[in-house]
Amino acid sequence: MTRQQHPAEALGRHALSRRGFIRTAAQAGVAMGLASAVSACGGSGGGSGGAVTLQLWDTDTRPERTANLKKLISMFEAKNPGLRINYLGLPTDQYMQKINTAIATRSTPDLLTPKASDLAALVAQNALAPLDERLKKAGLEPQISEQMLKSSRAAAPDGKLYLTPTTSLADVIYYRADWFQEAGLKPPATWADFDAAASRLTDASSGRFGYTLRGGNGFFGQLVQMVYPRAGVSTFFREDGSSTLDDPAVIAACEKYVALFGKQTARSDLTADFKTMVAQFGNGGAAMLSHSIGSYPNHVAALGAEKVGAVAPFPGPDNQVLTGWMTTGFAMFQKSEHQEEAWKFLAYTMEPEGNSFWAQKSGYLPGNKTVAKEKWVTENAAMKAALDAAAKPGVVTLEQPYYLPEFTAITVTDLLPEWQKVLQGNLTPRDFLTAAASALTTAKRKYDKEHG
Amino acid sequence: MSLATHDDVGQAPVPAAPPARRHAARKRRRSMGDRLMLWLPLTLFLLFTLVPLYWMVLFAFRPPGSTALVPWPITLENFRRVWEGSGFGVYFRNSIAVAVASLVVSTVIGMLGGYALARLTFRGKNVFLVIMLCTQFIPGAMMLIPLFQIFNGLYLTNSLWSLIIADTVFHLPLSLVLMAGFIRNVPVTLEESAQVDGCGRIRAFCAVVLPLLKPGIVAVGSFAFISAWNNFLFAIMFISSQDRFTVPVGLSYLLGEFGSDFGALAAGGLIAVAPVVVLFAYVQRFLIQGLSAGAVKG
Repeated sequence: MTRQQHPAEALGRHALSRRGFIRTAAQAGVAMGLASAVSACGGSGGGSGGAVTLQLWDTDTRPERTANLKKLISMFEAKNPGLRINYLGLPTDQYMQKINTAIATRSTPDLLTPKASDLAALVAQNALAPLDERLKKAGLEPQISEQMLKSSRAAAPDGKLYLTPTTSLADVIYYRADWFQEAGLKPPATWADFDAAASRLTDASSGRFGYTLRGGNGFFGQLVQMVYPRAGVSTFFREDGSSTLDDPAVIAACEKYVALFGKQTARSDLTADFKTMVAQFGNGGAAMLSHSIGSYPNHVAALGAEKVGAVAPFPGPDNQVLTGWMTTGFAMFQKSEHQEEAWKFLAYTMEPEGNSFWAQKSGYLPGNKTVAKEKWVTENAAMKAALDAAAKPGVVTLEQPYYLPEFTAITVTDLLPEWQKVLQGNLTPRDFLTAAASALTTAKRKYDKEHG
Repeated sequence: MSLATHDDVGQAPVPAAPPARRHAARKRRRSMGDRLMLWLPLTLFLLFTLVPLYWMVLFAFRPPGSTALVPWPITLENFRRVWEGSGFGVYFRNSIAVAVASLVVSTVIGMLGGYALARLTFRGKNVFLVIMLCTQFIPGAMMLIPLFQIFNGLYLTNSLWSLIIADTVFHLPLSLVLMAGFIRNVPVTLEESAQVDGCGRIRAFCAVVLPLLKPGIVAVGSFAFISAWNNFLFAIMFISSQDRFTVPVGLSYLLGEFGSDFGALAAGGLIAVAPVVVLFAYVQRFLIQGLSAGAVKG
């Protein structure tokens, strides 16, 4: 019996030996690797003649905003020869994964535009550089709005300053100045004025309502804006870490807010989100609207500046509580090899020239006090209302706990269907707020336990 | 003598339809049922697949602000905005470069490796095959940090090479296994005949095996192209320059935090699927041939 020969054996002289095959494959692999490395080195090197190039990663890539940020960068570069900034916009829903990978692989850029809600995660990884000392040394601290400094520090779990108080949003109540005038009403100054105007200006038969209530996506911001100042409650959590959402005053204020639905508001407000609400106000469907100063240009574009009035949330029983003060700014990474240069850019965004440009283009409140006196700010009814309110003695700002990892999921996703049940009368405001308070209390206690 | 037919037995006392007609009616009922069984799921399936596609075409070609249900009058404004304003021209070029390079490298290495697996016997071959298959179960996200560190060490981050290498490496096990299956289907006697005629192994492979591998090459190459074309994760992680991003990353820019430009998004989506659709339209014949050869005969 003969063993069946393998074709390779039968044709021994032509067969590629195993060792030869491995050797050839290894050589090919090494050659490819070298070729790749060489070509990559050639492609990505490129010194820029001694100039320091900073990397900036941007987490908000709306086209108009990107163009403005690039302009701000070019203004900074013109003022600082030898410094260059490379801009990289990151997709809105994926940027944290890229940043986390960069942190894990120690390849972070120099600068970042983090959202207040991202600060907790970044600070927990010791990724960002604290800015308190630098701000003091640069003599910038007295030039910056105290309100914004406080908001910036409150966004970080350790109370340090990581996010430059460059610009901020603030909540206001918009009203149709022309309708108020026609009805012989003065701009609302108290909650009683607000209720009276909402009733007076409602004419359901002609599709005109006193107020537009946000029942859909993003409802929580409006709820807080309309409920906490009315209740006069200025903190989100009590000292024991429990949420103030179930405070009797908050529940009472919420009941009044919910009572507007379907009477002084359209029933379709059940699913109203930002766009619907703005359209309702702009199309003459509502006399009043609660939102941040950021939407002022939308209202002016729809109605004209003379028809749009704005007031800050009215005083409560004992104090005036301001809401929606959310700082937006820049941060620098701890591992940046160009800390001094990166700080120069951060400082520029808070100094009059950079701050004025950036705040005006963004439509946000400027952090620099000198800029806050500029004409473009004082002529903006919403900004003026927010700044005037903030300048009053004794006002308190309600800080929302963006640092809680579950905050967005609870307030944006989990509570929305329950809120719509409240508006439809299938759930009482008390039960809704008690359940919401319980969820937030659990999140807060878990956070406190994890962070000592 | 008369033969009782099947129809004579048990004849109904009441007049009934002639047997042929009854049979035809039964057949018609059955065929209607069959048709329903075929067309209902097919229609539902087509609705689920074609409606989103129609939505994309509608939004891409409809003027901004229009609420018409047909894309008329047609406008190319969304495409212009996406191509020029959002930089899709650059992303498209990068995607093509990465996908074509990945296709070529995957196919060539797949052919060489597949040949070794199909024709050579060596120690640990089965273990090697099992390990390769196991790599397919590891999600790309898990490999991000180690891969990033390797590329960083090789100065390959922020280079399209990192995408080509990562996409090729991730696709290679599948290419090897598929290609080995295709090569096994080519009778070894054909190669032997060529070698008896004086060809070396490489020449025999090129002259005899390669022409017969056409469906396999098309199948493996298409998978490699599509896999590299659609890869978002590696592109967003390894690249840090706007001008080196690929189409999937470009698409994600169109989804804004405060709302999306649906016209631009739909136009971007059509640009993203166009090469894949064109590729499939061209290669589907080979692909079906190739896949069935690999799957059934392997």
